[in-house]
Amino acid sequence: MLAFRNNSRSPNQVLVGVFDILRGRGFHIEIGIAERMLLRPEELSVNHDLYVLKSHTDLWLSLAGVLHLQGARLLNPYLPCIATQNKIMTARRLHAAGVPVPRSWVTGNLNLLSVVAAERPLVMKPFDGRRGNGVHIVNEPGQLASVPSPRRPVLVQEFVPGRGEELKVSVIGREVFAAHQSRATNGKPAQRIPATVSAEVRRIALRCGEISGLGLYGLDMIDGIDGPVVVDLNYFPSYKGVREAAPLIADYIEDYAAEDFPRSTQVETAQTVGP
Amino acid sequence: MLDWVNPVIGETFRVLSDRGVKLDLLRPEERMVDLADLRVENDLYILKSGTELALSVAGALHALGAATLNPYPTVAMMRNKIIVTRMLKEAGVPTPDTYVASDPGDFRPLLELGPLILKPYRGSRGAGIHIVRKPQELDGLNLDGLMLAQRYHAPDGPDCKIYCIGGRLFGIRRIWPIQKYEDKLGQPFDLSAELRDIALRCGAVFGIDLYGLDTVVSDGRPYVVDVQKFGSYMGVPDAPRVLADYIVAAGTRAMRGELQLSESA
Repeated sequence: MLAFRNNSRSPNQVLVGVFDILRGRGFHIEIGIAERMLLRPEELSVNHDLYVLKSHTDLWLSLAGVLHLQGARLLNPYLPCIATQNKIMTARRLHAAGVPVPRSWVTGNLNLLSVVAAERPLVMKPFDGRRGNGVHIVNEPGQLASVPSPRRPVLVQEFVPGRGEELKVSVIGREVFAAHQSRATNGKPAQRIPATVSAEVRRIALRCGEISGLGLYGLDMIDGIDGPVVVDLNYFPSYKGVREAAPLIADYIEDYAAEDFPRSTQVETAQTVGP
Repeated sequence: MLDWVNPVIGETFRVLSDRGVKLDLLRPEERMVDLADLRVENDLYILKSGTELALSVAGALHALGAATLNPYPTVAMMRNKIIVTRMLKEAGVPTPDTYVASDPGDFRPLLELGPLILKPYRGSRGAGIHIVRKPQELDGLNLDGLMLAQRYHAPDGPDCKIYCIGGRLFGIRRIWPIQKYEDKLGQPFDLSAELRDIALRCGAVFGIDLYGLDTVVSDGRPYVVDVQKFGSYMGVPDAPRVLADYIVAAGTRAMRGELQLSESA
């Protein structure tokens, strides 16, 4: 039993639904929960037919690496997950494949940014950040001085002005969903309002899956002047606001488990829970 | 790609230049890299730097088809000490008992059985390493993120560094922690059959033959406490020439498209 889960949050309802459906189909599923635990990496070995990697924490990604190297099957596969976690690598790969991404730079010395900061507003993101943690927006070079010198690499991107709210795109295999995320106001939490998926958004979203090797993933897109631009890519997103998500994900996991493989009966989930 | 040049590496570069090898030193920290301009411009990229930025740039180059020494996926994996510990165990390499926790307080009960060495799960060059003997010492530590705790085995003598260059093994005894420059050079020694076997197993499990390892001998038993993707090679007799030979051979293979670029190590 392996798990690492923050008990202070409620479980992701989409996942709860997915596992209910899979259990109903005869899958044996274990979800490890341990808020505080001491792990012995030496003792970790592959005991399950399939591991579903939902978590994005360092600990779970490390354990996924150990399992991968021992021949475990992971969903999404391990190497695409760690590659996607690195925003510097992801930005370069998407650009090379013709996916529209903002102009991007990296440096260890923020002073070197003043020239590009003078020409355009910039967004600075930790190279391995999640959920907007540690993001700084620099509107003019003078603001660079107030950005704390990063201890970890940052991806610097041109700020892309968008028409309307950011588009949250969720993908399950070949199914693409989109929602606009409204800003949290007056104590009301941010809401996701389902949006139509244009042919262009769908094409870009599926291309990102081909490039990254992910099947369950999410994108943040901005509807820029020249069309949609991808500003973030994540494996196994929350699927919040995607009503049909649970049965589709359950089907996807079942197909994945059956692929080139004897009928799978056990599924273990590696997850930290995020709503 | 490197973050600093130790004397061995500096001399290696001179030997390579004398042989007509064109070298570019890349320090992504000190320039501004436009990612769109990042292209594979060299036959071979040598990953010497230990910084996360250099590793990310190397990862992007690897994804674009660059040949890297050592292979990028292996180097990325070797940064994670949780993965390394498990791999070494798999290879039958003796390591101290190892524990992982996000909250160092979880290590408290382990101190009843003796001291521990705490290390960040991703780290290099001994940064952030602490020896902890008493529970109250855990409180005073400024730790960040996921930590590894290894059972501390008091060494019988100086640490034994083992370096591998293309299958050739070199042993250097070196005191730890280092006090002065001469300590870095250490004393060459002949490796026992047991240490040779351990060193070769370490390389085999990661599929590389250019690396360094730190071993501690305690009560006559060796333990591997760290593995480096590319050692400092300080104190290795004739290291610059041996390294240059190796790099030229790797570069030649890369130019012929023979260098292993496997995705999974």
